[in-house]
Amino acid sequence: MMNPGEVWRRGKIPCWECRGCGWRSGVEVVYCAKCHSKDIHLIELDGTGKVISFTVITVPEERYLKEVPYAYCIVEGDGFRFCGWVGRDDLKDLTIGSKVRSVSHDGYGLRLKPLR
Amino acid sequence: MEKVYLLSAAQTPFGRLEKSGRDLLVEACVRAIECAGITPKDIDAGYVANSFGFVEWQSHYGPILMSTLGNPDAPCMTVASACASGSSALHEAYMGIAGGFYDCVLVAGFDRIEVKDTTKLTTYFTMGCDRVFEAENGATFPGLYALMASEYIMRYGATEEDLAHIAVKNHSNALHNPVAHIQKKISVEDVMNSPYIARPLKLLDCCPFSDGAAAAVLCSEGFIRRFRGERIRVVASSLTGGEITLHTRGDFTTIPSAVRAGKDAFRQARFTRKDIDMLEVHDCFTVAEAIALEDLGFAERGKGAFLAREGVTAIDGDIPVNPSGGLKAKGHPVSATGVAQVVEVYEQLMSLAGGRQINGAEVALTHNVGATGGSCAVHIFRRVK
Repeated sequence: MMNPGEVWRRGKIPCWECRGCGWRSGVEVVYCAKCHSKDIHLIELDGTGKVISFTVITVPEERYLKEVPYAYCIVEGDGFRFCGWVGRDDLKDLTIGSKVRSVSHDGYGLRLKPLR
Repeated sequence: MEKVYLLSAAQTPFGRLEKSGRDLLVEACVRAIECAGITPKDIDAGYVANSFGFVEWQSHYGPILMSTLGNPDAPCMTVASACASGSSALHEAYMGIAGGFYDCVLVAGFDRIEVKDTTKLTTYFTMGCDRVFEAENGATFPGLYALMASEYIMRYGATEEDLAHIAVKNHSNALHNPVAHIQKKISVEDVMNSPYIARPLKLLDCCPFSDGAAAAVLCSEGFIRRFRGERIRVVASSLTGGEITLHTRGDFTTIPSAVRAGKDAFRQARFTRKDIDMLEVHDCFTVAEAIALEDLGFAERGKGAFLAREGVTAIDGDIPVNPSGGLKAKGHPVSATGVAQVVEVYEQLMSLAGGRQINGAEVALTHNVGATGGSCAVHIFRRVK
């Protein structure tokens, strides 16, 4: 599979798009879950979206130990959902419904910043 | 299809244990074999659920088990479906007998992680979700269930106190269960004052990291004829799959694989919800018990969180839920859990449950979820003459 970590670090959002039916997925698919076509193309989007749910995590796994407290967020993008995280310095600006954009960084995952 | 019976079920105590995973596995199996009144030679096949064997540098536990039991020629394989590994192994055993391939099958589940460090254990547990798309972005298991809890609370007006009552009830049940990991009475205030792990879930909303093993013997109608007395029939065995990532699903307040497994199990058993005397459900976090009751049709949407507070799910309530203490207090040695639920069913239906006995329990249901619903199994058991 492709390495989404490398795309996330560049501040981009990978999206698997079906050219058969237009369905989009934020996680890797080889066959479309809607029309079962194999005509899937990986595109990279400049990421903005709306936070639909988040949780502030205080007990993390190893890779996030230095980031706590941070928020794990679920984001509604352009026709697909993705997840990412918001660092402790930005938590005050984060609410459900917040617009967020992805930023480049050298750590793990897709780092998001709330747009003020 | 052949009828399938539960001949016995037994387990080790749950807790942070010093014994190796291998020793725990063998101990639970020997107990189940002796409880069944069979010898290992009677076993046609085995299924061993295990997720973290690699911590002890061991896989291929099937032949290790059967060799130790002196029956090395019996086929025995490892089954893994994260937290639903135990019930997945049970389903395999059920299919082997129902399909007419085997007469007597040993099912076991165990896990033991020597590590004590919470961060490391949290990391191990993320192996059950999608590591690349969820954990790489900071998800933990409490984190994923916290998203369900948060959505549930917002949509249905439940409170963190309502969820706390589920923990209090399950801890109270475990006081009567000598094999439970946590035998400590707690109050709603204790839950509310415990630190947040992932908002809105607090430490006492979460099940503990446990070690332990459980085993059961299943058999055919032909095989059970050699035994007298009451017996337990497995009247439904349903295993389903579901989308692994939580964030790609439409609704976080339900687990679609559990809804389908429940419907399928009731169809197989030809039972209604009213026929069920008790449930053991997958309460890895308090909110998971509320959602389970709704997914299985025992509560309307948005009402499951209030049942513990109202006493409906207590041992003497209308629908006793998790009389064992559940994952929350009995403990959750990942792959043992689905089989350990069957141990509780066995003890309840055979009136062996002591201080937590549900009077006249005849029909029981188990519900075991892998991760946030990537897999789910529902089984229904009935005591028959």
